[in-house]
Amino acid sequence: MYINRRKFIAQSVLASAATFIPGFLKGFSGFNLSSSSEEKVLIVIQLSGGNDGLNTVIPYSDDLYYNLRPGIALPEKDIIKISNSYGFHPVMKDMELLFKEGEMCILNNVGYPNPDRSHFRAMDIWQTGSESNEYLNTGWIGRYLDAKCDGCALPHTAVEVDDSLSLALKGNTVNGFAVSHPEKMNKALSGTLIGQLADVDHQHLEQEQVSYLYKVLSEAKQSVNYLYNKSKIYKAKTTFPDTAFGKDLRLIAELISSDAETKVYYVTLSGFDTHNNQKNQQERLLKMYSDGVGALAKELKVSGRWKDTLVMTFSEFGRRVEQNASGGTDHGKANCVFLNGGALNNAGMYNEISSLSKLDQGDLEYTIDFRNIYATLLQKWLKADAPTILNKRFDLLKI
Amino acid sequence: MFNPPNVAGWPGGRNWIDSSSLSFRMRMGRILLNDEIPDQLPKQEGDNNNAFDVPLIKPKQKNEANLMNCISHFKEVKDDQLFDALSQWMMAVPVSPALRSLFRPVSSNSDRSAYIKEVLMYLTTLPEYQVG
Repeated sequence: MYINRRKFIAQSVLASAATFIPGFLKGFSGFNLSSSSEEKVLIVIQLSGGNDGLNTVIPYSDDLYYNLRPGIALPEKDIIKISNSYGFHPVMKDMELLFKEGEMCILNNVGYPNPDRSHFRAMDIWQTGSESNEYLNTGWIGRYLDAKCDGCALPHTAVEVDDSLSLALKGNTVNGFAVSHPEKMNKALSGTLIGQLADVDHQHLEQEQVSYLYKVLSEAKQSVNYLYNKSKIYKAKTTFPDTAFGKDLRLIAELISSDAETKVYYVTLSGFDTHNNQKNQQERLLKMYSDGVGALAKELKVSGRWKDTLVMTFSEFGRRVEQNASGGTDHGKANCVFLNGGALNNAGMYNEISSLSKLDQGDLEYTIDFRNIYATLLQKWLKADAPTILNKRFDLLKI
Repeated sequence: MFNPPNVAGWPGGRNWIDSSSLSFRMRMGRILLNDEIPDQLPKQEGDNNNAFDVPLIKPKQKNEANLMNCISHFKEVKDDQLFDALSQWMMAVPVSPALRSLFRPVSSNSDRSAYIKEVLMYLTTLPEYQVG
């Protein structure tokens, strides 16, 4: 079995002490100070389509919830209660475990001023961290790469598990790296014409643009080679759900467990645009999500890296409080954001869900700007300079 | 090209190019000329209305390009000058001898249609082909 010094220490400490600490106490251990920020990893999970937050974290004690959603409100008896007022969607059993262990923080009513109901535009705002009337060409993680290492970082410092790269990971001088199957991509870049082109000495090419393309290609080859070799070192012991999302998370877990130098991982689960027949669709997706994150946490506990990991889950908007006539919900505004990890300072419900009796044009009123969350993750977790990256100073949250 | 990064469109400059968009572009010629199946699929937007949109190129669709016009266009060119003629026709930047050495065709240049296809697949793969 492959083991390094850190894992040996982590595992021996866990074996000696943590076994005797009840789960509810672990939540108060704070951000783990013994490991340096260099080891911290952020995973961003994007739920595309606009997840219905009110059927994810449910204010089940509020009659208005049932009155406004006669066809799609979840029966109280099925809801997984996490407090006297709130509960999880019935399929989110693994999330309940994480919540109980103090490894989940729920931020409610997250949004921004003058929200946009278009998927495309709302996702743009979330990915770039812009104002709603501002158009940026770089993403917040891309600008983190710019700030971390101007021009010198290899693209795999931020990895998106996908075939193409999201705007979120594009910086001014550095881009993140998109790969869905390191083995397949590594093969496509070795021995082939494209692989040979990646080895061309680009520094002496006359044309600047051509030289730049060769540089991108050469870095891609180095990055995929690095990731492929890392992904071979550690094989997950946990069974991940047999879904595309489950496979993506397994790859991430294996890379983190083999100490890959990647700081940010980005992954998407799509299909949350539940205008009609929401019940089955959302149930299927939330199960995929919850089971996947559950397996990820389990595996990273095995490898001793869960304390270095923070998972943020967001969706481009929430949905309207009142259901529509097709057994679904339409595009809304504020939504819940989840943070999961083994080193949360302030686990649990961060804030209450906005009152269902005081709606903002039929939507939840937003109380937390999403960029406060970004700023907190950048500043406190990744030890980066948030105001530079977000072009503005946002208050940090106590998480 | 028809899938810009955001509503601001293509930003221009270098920002739009990353390893995934570059590698897709480099394989585009091969996909179209050789009926290869693209293994990079566009991202799902999450919009229910677009959930059933066909991807930009439908996998397993016949993409084989018709090279008849190209073959007749170069009819007069001698076999051993065919590569240079095609590369001058296709490329804004000349192909250096070092790059040329990476072109190792399977077919002989007397088998016009097969050879032209191989040259075109090679040329469209080059980063030089991506700059106008």
